[in-house]
Amino acid sequence: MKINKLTSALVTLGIISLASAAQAQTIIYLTGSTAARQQVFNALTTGNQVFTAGFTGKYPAAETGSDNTFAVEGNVAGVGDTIYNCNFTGSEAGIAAVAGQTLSQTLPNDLNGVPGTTAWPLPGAPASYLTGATLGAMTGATAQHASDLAMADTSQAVSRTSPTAYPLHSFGIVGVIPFTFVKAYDSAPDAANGRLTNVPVNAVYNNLIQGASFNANNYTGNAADVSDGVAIVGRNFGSGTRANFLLNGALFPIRGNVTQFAFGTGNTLYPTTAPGVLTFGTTAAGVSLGAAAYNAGQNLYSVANDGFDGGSSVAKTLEVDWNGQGVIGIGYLGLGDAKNAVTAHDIAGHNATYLTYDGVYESDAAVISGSYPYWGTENLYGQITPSAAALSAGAALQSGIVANVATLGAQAAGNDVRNGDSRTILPTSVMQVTRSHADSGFPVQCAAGAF
Amino acid sequence: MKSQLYKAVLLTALGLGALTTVQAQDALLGFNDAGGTANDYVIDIGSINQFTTTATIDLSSAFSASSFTTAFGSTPDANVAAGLVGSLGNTFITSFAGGTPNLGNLPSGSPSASQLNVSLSVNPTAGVYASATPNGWSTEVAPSTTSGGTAGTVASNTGNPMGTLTGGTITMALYESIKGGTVRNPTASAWTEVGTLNFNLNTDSILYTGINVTAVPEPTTYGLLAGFGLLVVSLRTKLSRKQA
Repeated sequence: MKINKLTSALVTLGIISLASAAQAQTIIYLTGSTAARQQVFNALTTGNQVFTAGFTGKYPAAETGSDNTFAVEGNVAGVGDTIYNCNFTGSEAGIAAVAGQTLSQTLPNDLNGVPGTTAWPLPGAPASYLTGATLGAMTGATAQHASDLAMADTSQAVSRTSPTAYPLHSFGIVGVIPFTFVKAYDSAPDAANGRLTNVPVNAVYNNLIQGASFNANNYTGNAADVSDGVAIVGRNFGSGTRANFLLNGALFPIRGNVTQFAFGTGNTLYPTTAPGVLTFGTTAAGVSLGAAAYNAGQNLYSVANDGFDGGSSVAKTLEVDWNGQGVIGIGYLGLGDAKNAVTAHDIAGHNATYLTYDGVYESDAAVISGSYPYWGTENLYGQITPSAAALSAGAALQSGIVANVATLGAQAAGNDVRNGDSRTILPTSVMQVTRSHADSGFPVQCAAGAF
Repeated sequence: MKSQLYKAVLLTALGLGALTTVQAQDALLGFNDAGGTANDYVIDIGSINQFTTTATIDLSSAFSASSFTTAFGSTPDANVAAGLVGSLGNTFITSFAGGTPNLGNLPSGSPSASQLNVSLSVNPTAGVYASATPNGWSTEVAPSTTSGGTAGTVASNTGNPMGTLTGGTITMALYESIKGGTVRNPTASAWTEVGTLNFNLNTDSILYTGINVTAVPEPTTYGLLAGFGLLVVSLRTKLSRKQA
């Protein structure tokens, strides 16, 4: 018993690893992009894509890849019995985590601390993993732990965690991830709202600077549309979706200060129960407002450079009834969250609308051919000096996801995001254009397989 | 606040690394040398909150003499210029250099809300790099004391903050403008002087002296600002007193 207590203490202090304590499985701690979790889960649980003989167990047993926290076990070549213990908290937080850093931010409008001074950790940073040395020992309890691997929607080159200071091990790109713009619900849209069906790149760039005073005519091209402004709803700086939006959707400086919006006021935006976290649809005490949060007449608030820590809150904000604001809401989302926003996913039954980007709806064919350039690449990173087990496990995961994405392939031309048929991640092998692994720049033609 | 400190200590003890705080909107002191090395050196000197004092603050620890030498050589030429920009929420602070000012519309009057929005969006990269580097000081703030650069720079909107060093020193008056109004119709307040920043290359010192207690942005909405302007003024005064 004393030995167990000592072991437990040493594990807690990070002096010895859980893997060595358990003497059975190697545990690999995987964090990063929430957008990548489904692909990670699919690869881990499909055939022999990651494991040499398929997966042997998972926690929770009913897991389907829709949760941010889960674990999957199997045999990894060169490692043996391995548990991928996963907690997805966002791309930037993931990169920082494998670098041994923890990101925090200050807020200009901070009722819970000193504005611009009090540092709040980004939500989910550092990652908290399932505790238990075996799947059978897992109960759902979690604890913070150092991370071995991280998925990221961009490369480290544009990360707040500089590759110069923290040269992480790159396992490479696993696929291409598209994004889309969505227009917010309005129960009685005016003519300008009806005409706003497209996001021109120069308009969204200037909208990020000028905020809701930026008139809708800049989007519609109709000189009469100056009674409505346009407000952008989006993510905080820890988001890979935001990084891709700035780099490839708005052609905006990655470090630039943007003007984004949310509904609420004071502590309903930053509840006392979640200080430092922009929150949708709660009271100041953090109690959910339910359907009432989606009613018209909410207070539109400039959160300046801040944004939501997850795409679901962006989607919910776009499902609020914006009627009467004098402002049209638009948001940038991954395809999964966008689908929720446009299919009346919220309890009020409101639905947002897909928008074209420079005249083109997102579709697999448009991404592949280069006519729709709003996409990024999904990367896998390890620590600066990965352990031998992490090197093998990372390589197995990278090749497994690539194989899994390849089996999905791409939709045939003619389908687009409005059909709900676009892939949330595309294999690089089908791409006819490339950015040569850079995170920004206009895609140029490439030969098959030369992404 | 205590819990945050505890968390930082705990994380370090767990070997999970130090907290890296991203100050997306700090005060940045930038140097460039348009007529010479064509390099930039940009220092993050911290939140503009620290300028809410009438005391003198020593910010010298942010300066690196070796980085300055890397950028401009051991004997900098006469073109080396400096300026300061910073923002937090709706508040923007910029310098008015006493050396060789070329400040356009500063410090008289007020910028337009549109001009202020542009300057609030600018957040150049800190460090030493070539002046042509995208997202850098020369490309986003001002390429020199006499050029405003592109339409999206601070200089082209709220005025050029750069002044030339004289004998290795420069004293800059700092002014602030605050965005207010409503979501649809924002306004920009008239420039208000908040203090002076003195840089001395001979002693590697950066000193700020406040002459006017300014305010940090309040937790307000534009709508609330319109409806409860007096309340906001009252809260600002209270907070300023508390921090002074």
